[in-house]
Amino acid sequence: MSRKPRHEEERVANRIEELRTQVDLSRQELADRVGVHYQTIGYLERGEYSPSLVLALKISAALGASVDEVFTIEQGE
Amino acid sequence: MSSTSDKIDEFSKQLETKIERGVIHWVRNDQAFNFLRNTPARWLLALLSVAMLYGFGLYAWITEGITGYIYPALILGMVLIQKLSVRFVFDDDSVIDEYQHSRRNRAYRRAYKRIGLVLALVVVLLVLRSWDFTKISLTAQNHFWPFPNGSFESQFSVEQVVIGLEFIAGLFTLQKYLSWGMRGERN
Repeated sequence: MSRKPRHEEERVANRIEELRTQVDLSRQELADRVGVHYQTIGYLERGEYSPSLVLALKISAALGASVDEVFTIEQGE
Repeated sequence: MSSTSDKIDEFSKQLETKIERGVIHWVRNDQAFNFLRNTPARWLLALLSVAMLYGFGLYAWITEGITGYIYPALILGMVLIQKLSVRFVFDDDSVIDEYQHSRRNRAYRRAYKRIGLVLALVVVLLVLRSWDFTKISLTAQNHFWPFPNGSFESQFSVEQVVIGLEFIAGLFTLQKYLSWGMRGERN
């Protein structure tokens, strides 16, 4: 059960920015709705941070989409 | 009488809490401090912190005198700027989100390791110094003893001891900010 090399690890991709723009929300507004700092929304959108399940559910609800519409698992190279 | 006094106490307490929260909320979120939060600023703050903690600390240790008073003031100033730079994430658990929480925990882990290394280095230097002293003192008596015997002639002045303690306090306080990382905020 050895750990996969970093470049082979799965990462969580998301469509937060795309869906946020569609529902006409600013980062600050989305951050206020889900209870995080607006910078954290930036880190999430750029894929620099993978959210907890609770935060993923909150974001999906705020964007009016299901979790699997917002987040997908991307396989590393 | 007591009831009026209690009410005044309660009101003062509430006002104090309100003002404190207001000030902290302002400095934490006001964009006026964003110039301290980007990546180049994080690098600059890290370099200044290290130069001040180690460089100025050594200078103060050597020169003693007035620099011993400037050193803690510089450490305090740098801690305040670092607090602003990381939005006070190390101060209050209840107001940070999960990203800040996870990054803060990683910073603590790194800080413990680094402080351990620095303190181990200091201990090694002291042992070597003790060894050197042992060799010198015993060679003068025509003896040879290749191992440190634990004896150590302290030649530190009170000011140097104080500066040493200030360095340790500064190391423990600043290291978590240095371990927070260089990646700053982006818009």
